[in-house]
Amino acid sequence: MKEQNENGMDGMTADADVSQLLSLLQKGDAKAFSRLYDLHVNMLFNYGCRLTTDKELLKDCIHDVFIKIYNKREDLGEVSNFKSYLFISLKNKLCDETRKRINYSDLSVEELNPIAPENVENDYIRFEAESVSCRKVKHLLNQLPPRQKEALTLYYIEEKKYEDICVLMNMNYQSVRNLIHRGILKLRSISAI
Amino acid sequence: MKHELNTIEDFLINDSFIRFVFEQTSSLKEYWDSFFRQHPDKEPVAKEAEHILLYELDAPGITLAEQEKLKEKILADIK
Repeated sequence: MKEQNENGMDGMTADADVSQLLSLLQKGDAKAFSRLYDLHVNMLFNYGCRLTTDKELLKDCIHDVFIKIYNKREDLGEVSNFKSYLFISLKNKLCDETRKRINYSDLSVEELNPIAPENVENDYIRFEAESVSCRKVKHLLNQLPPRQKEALTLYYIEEKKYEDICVLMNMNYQSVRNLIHRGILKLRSISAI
Repeated sequence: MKHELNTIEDFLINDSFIRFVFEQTSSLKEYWDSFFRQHPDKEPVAKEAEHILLYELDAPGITLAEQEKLKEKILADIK
């Protein structure tokens, strides 16, 4: 972690620091936003360097990630861990941008070495449902509240992306994630009965 | 598995793995413990990816000048 003194916040533990900054940012504190950037930009840059050699693309994506954080600051309370949120956001942004470039380019996919979107969560639900038959899964899904059922069906059965589910269900990204997460927990609890 | 997890990068870009490393929730631990029991050969690569995520990303990377320039652009764009 970098030592930076301008806000007089050194000496605090990093996690407490970050969670305090996040709640300040939720209230619209621009200094907190700036400090969050200072604390995380190098880490994000190094993470991105593992995924792409294109430094300009990487900086553009980091830019977009922070813009999104600022614009969605009121939803930050839903973020359970800021670091994993940052890494996943940057990775998704890099994937999206790389995909766009492939669509606009004559180069073969192999030449561009795109970052393949990983989705072990599909395997995760398979794991969750391993012990029950397909029919039982449907039966269990039917016991969920309608919105949870809809979100889980879109995500795991129709394999829609979170972004698409946001549009389909008219909800923000984090709320969709939360809905799916709650749905999984609920599925697990009812399947254990 | 539908998506093969063979390289360090495969783990570094895996949402579930990233969340496992930083959040350590019981359901993620359960999932990944089971995954590594079924695929013990994947564990060393995953450990390397975990080490990168936890300890290696604080190394010098972006220069201070680039960092400030990027920050100015972000701050200008949110106004």
